[in-house]
Amino acid sequence: MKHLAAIFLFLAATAIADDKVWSAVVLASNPAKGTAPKAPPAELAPFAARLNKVFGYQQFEILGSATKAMDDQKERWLVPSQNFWVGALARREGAGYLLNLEFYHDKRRIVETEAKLGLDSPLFVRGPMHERGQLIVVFEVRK
Amino acid sequence: MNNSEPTLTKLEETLTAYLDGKLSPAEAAVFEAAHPEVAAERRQHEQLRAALAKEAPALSHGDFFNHQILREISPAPAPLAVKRTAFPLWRLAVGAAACLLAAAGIFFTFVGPQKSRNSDYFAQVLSVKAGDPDITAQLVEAGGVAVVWIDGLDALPTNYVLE
Repeated sequence: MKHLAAIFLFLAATAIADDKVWSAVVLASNPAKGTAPKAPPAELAPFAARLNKVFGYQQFEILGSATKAMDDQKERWLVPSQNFWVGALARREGAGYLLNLEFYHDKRRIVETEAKLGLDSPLFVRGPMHERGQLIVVFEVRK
Repeated sequence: MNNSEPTLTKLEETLTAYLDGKLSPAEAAVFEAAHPEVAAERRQHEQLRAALAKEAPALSHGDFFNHQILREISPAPAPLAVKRTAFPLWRLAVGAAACLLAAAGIFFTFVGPQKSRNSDYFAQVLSVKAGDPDITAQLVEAGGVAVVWIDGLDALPTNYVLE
């Protein structure tokens, strides 16, 4: 029985150590007239239909992304593109994470939020518009 | 040579034949004259037998009663010996529960989170605060995803390079 408990503790510790935070800057746009929309990237494919409903765009393109290993009580800075940064302070809570997130555009802090996120459950932030479409910043905890 | 079967005396043979009705009337008469007490007992016995045959109720389920009587008088079966096994039931149950627990732990550790990608979306925004007084930020939960919706941001200039 002690051996069994030790195995579970080891597996749980391994699972926490393997978690990562991922952030991406996404350009949402519509295809040119007469052309089919581009297939979404694999990272966004499960959410493409829902993003289409929320934002009204048919195609989604990742402009840049960044991944860092999760570590409790240490703030992580992710730079998915040269112009967008995300500061993340994560704390394990239940099956997911309690996160304090700060989103920056260039040197301007645009929003600060506290959220509970499960694994593979991204949070989307509607950023500024660009002539090519809508910019969206994505933040996700993943294995 | 020793014969174990008891031998009947002449009197006993005659008495047995008399009671069985095997003697001729003449022989029976001679026997009754010699042993009147036996003759009297025989008559009483025959009277009693006739009375019982007349008064006794008819047995309609003889086979059933015979079966019941035989069952009652047959020796009871010996109790089965209790065998001690190396793996009693409670040990097997505890072992099975431990296996199920281990399987569930492995499943949720290695398989569960991957399966949840499509079905178990969980994002709960507790607070949203705009970082600039010129912009507003609010939570929009629509279409099954959580979106922090920011208004008031200037559109990026035409020559802004996305990278």
